Amino acid sequence: MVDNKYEPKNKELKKYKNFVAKQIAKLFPVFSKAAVGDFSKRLKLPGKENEFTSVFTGVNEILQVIRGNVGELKELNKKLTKKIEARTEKTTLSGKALRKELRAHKKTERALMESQGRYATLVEKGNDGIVIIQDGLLKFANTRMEKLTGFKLSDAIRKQFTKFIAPEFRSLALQIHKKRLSGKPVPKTYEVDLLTKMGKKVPVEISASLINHRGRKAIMALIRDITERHEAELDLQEEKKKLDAIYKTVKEGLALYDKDGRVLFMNPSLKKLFSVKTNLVGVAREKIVKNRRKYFKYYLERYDNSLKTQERVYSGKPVSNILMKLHSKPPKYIEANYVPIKDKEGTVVAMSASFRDVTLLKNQAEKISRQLLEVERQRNRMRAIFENVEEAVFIFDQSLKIIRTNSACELMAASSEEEMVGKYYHDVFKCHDRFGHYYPDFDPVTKVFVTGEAVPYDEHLHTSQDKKEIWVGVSYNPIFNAKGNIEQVISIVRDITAIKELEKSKSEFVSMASHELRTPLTIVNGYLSLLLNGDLGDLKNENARTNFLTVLQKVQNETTRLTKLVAELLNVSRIEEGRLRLNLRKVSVLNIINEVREEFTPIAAMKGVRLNLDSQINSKIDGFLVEVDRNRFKEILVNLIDNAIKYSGNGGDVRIGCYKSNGKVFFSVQDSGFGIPEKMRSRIFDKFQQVPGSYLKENKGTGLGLFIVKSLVELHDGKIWVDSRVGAGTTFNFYIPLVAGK
Amino acid sequence: MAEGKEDKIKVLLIEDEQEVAQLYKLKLGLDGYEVLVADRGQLGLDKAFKESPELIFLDIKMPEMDGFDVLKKLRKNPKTESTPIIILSNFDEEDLIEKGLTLGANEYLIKSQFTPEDISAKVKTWTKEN
Repeated sequence: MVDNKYEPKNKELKKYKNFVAKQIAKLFPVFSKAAVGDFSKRLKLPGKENEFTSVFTGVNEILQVIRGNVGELKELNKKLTKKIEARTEKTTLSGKALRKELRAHKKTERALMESQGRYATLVEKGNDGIVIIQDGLLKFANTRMEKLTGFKLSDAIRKQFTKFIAPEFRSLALQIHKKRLSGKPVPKTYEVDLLTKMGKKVPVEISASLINHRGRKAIMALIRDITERHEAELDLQEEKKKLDAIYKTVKEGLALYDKDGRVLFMNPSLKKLFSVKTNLVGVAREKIVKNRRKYFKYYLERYDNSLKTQERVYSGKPVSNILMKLHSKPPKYIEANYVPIKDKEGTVVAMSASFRDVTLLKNQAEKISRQLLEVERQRNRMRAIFENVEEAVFIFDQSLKIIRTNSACELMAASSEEEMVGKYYHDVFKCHDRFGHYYPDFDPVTKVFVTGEAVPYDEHLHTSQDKKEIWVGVSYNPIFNAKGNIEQVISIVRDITAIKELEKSKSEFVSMASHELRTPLTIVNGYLSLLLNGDLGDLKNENARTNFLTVLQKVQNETTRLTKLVAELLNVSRIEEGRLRLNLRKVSVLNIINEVREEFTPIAAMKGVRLNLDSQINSKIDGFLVEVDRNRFKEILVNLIDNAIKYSGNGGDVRIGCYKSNGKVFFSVQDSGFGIPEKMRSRIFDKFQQVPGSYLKENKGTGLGLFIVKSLVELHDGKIWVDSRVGAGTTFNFYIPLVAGK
Repeated sequence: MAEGKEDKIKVLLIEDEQEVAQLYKLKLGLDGYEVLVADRGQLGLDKAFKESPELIFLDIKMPEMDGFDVLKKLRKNPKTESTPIIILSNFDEEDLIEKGLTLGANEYLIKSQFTPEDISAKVKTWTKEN
C-alpha cells in the first residue's frame, strides 16, 4: 500500500511545487530589470537624507522579502524533507518513488539556487556594501566592500568583523551585534567608521538584520558609505556651532517669534540687554508688552506702539530703527529691528528681532548735538557781540579792502555795509592821525599785513561822509589762517570823541582854575611889590598911610577871593570824585529861609538891592520839614541869592519864594538883572561859565558857584532849572523832596 | 619922568580884570606913562585906533571878544599893525602862547610871574627905540 500511501505524498509535493512556483513568480517582478534599474537609480541619488533613508528602507524591505521568501522556502523545504524522510521511514517507500521524490526536491533546491543567484547578482552589483557576520566573523562580503575597505575579500573573510571597524566604534558595533543576535531591540540604523586597509576611516551607516545563514543565526548588514553625508552633516554641525556661537556671543539681542508671536528663541545678549527677569520662551509677545514689569527688571519706554509694530511685521513689512529707553541706572537706549520670516508662499511664519544698545551712540549724538548747540550759541553770541559792540569792527582782506563791517561801523560811517564792503578804508573815512598824516599815507592795515604784528592802539581823527568829525582809538590785529599766514586784518574802532572832550574839558578846567588862582595872586603880589619898592611912598610917612590901607584892603580882598576859590575848587573836586558826603538832618524849611534872609539883609542893603520874601511864605511852608545837610543846603540858597544880588545891581530887586507841591518843596530866587542869553542858558551850570558883562566888577565870582549849586541840589534828590529873559531878569528854581509837614 | 601930557608915552591896557588894570595903571602912571584902560575888547580896539598907543598890553580871557580876536584885528589894521603888543595873561598853556605869538604878539607874559615893576621895565624896553 505504498502507492496508496504515496498518493498523499504526491499530492503534497504538487502543492509545494505550486507554492514555490507562485513564490518565484511573485519574486520575479521585484527582480525584473526595470525594478532593479529604478532601484539603482534611486541608490545613485546623492545627498538627501530622506532619499537615502527611503532607498535604504527600500533595499531593506526588498531584502526582507527575499529573505522571508527564501527563508520560508527553505523552511518549507526542510519541513518537506523531514516529512518525506519521516514518511520514507514509516511507509517504506520504494527506491524509485524515493528517488523521484528526491529529484523533485533537488529541483526545488535548484529553483532556490537560481533565486539566490539572482539575489547574489543584486548583492554584488549594488552600491551598498553587504556583509554577513556569523560567530563574530565575516562570513560574506560583496565586492563593494573591497572598494570600501581596500581589503581583498579573500583576506577579509573569516576575520573578526570588528577588525574592519575603527577602534572607537568597535565596542558599539559589538554591543549592537550581540543585542541583535539575542533579539533585543536595536536602532534601525547606526553609524560607525570603517577602518580601511590604509588605516583611513570611512564613515558608514549600517542597517542590519538577523538572518539564517546556513542554518544558523547570522547578521546581514548593509553598509553605506556616508562620507559625503557625514561631511555634509559635519559641515552642518559646524555651521550650527558657528551660528550658536554667534547667537551666544553677539552683543545684539536676538529673538525669534513664531507665527503667533510667541518667543521661540532668545539669545543671552537679549536677556542681558533688557535685564529679563524670567524665561520668555513660549510667552506671547502681546503678553510681554502688556505686562513688561513682570518680565523686565526696569521700566521700558518705547517710542512706538509696540503692538502696532508687531502687526506691521506680521503683515510682511520689516520695521527698523525703533528706539526705546530702558530706565535702568544708568538708562539704556536700545534700537530694534523687526523682520518678518516668510515661507515659499510668502506667508509670514515667524518674526525675528534684533536689539542693539545704542546708549553710547545716542549719548555721543547728544553730546555732539549739545556741542553743536554750544557752537551755535557761541556763534550767535559772537554775532551778537559783533553786531552790538559799541566799537566799529572792520575786517580787511589782503587787498586791503573791507570785507565785513558791523552795525557800529554803519553808524560811525553813516553808510551801509553794502556801501562799505569792497572799499578801502580811506574811501569810507577821511582820516588823519595825530601827526596830521592822511590815510593812506599812514596805513596801519598794510603795516599789519607786512609786519604780521598788531597795532595795539592808535588815535585818528575821522571825517565821515556826513562831515562829522570824530576822534577814534583803533587797534589793528592780524587774523591768521591755519598755515600761519595773515588772511585778514581786523580793526576795532572806538569813538573816543567824548573821552577826548572830557580830557579837553579837564585840561581846560585845570587851565581855568590856575588862571583864576593866579589872578588874585597877581594882584596881591603886585601891590606887595609896590609897597616894598616904595612906589607907594615911605611907610613912615603919615600921608602915605591912606594908600597903604587901600592897598592892604585890596590884598585882603584878593586873599579872601583866593580862599573862596580854593574852597570851591576843593568842593568841585569832591563832587566830581563822588566824595562829597551829606550829613542829613530833618530841618524846618522856614528856619533855613529866615536864617539866610537875615544873613543877606545887610549885604543887600549895602548894595542897594531890595530883598523880598514872599509875603505868604510863612503860611505856605510853616511846619514843613526837609531832610538836608544844613550847611550844604544853605550853600545852595546863599550862592543863588548872592548871585541874584550881584546881577540885580544897585536898585534891583531880589525875590525869594517857597511853596509845597506834590510832596516837594519848591524854591525860587529871582533877580532883576540883565538876564542870560539863550545860547548861554544850557551851559550856565557848567564850570567856569559866567554871564558876561552883566554884573559889577568887584563882585566877580569864581565861575564855579552854579556848578556846585546844581550838584548840591542833585545830591539832595532835587532838580534845578533856570528861567530867564534877556532884559527882564533871571529866576533859578529848584525843588527837593518834602519829608514831613501839612 | 615925562612932563606934559603930550610928551608922555601912551600905553594901552586892554584888561577886563579891574583890580589888575588898576594895579598896572598905578605903577605905570607912577613911572610917568600915560595909561589908557579898556575893560572890553571892542573898547580896546577903539582906543588903539584912536589914540595910537606906543605899546599895547592885551589880556586873553575877556568876555564878548577874547584877546586873540582883538590881536587879529589890531594886526590887520594899518594903524596898529606894527605897534608892539604884549599879551598879559594868567593862562600859561603852550598852545595859547604859541597862538598868541603866531598871531603877531611881540611877547606873551604870564601875569603872576611878573611884578608891576617888571611890566614897567617891559614898557621901557619896547618904547625905547622910538
